[in-house]
Amino acid sequence: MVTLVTSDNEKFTADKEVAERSVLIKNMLEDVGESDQPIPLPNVSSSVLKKVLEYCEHHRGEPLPAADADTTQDDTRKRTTDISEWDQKFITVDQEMLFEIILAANYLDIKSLLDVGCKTVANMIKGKTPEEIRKLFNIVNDFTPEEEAQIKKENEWAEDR
Amino acid sequence: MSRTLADLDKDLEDCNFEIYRVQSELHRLEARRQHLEKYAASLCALRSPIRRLPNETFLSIFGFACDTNELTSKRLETMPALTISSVCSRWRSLAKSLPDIWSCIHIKMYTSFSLPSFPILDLYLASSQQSPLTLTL
Repeated sequence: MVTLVTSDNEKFTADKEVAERSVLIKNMLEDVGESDQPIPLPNVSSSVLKKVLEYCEHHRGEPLPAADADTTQDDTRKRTTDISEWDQKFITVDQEMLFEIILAANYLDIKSLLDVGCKTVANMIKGKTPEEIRKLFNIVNDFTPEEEAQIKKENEWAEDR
Repeated sequence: MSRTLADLDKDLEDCNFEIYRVQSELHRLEARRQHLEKYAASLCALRSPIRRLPNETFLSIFGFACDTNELTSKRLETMPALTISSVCSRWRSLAKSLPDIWSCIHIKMYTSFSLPSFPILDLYLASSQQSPLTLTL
């Protein structure tokens, strides 16, 4: 078993096999060797770690991506945004938690969970206008007048700009 | 009677002045409210959780979101790369730095358009840079 300590000082115990779905934790365990020392996770709160461990527990035993898997260039091409039914249900959370899970997956280096989070945000973006996206994510339109003019010109092709 | 009328005129004048003063105050308060609302909106946006994502995560999200760009619909919603680059300056800068998201293009040939005046395709081809194109017709 592995003990993990969150940013709000809560302790979680998890099977090594489950915890090691995080490449960060796996590397830390390999570095320290056999030890009962708890692993501090200062960037992850207890509510988020609980969700992350739920995900890792559900996906335990599944093959992990190769360490040298290319995450850029061709990998961004022809990527599907399909999400399995369980993952879909798992990631149905409020925006605050969704982005916390993505940040935690990025920090803990859990690629499959990061992909689920990114696909979810991508699906939220798809089919929306810029204004709808701004409203959805509370983003301010901070373009300069020159940029606005350029965007207007680029978007002239679209009738619903 | 004359004195009463004079007093009434004075009262009316005072009344008009008070209305003018209250209206001016109302305008001032409305302008202040608009300013505060704008300030609150910008502060809320600063606290928006999506702002905390690092650039590389945004690039991954955009990669997933732009699996296809349907250029002949004349609707921004079907052109995710163009849409993303029109949201805010950070998203625009990231979108422009990721040629891949501009390289998956879908064109419906039955739609009436003429290639010589198809500027959106030029924009996509220019933004896709050296990225291999995926073109479906």
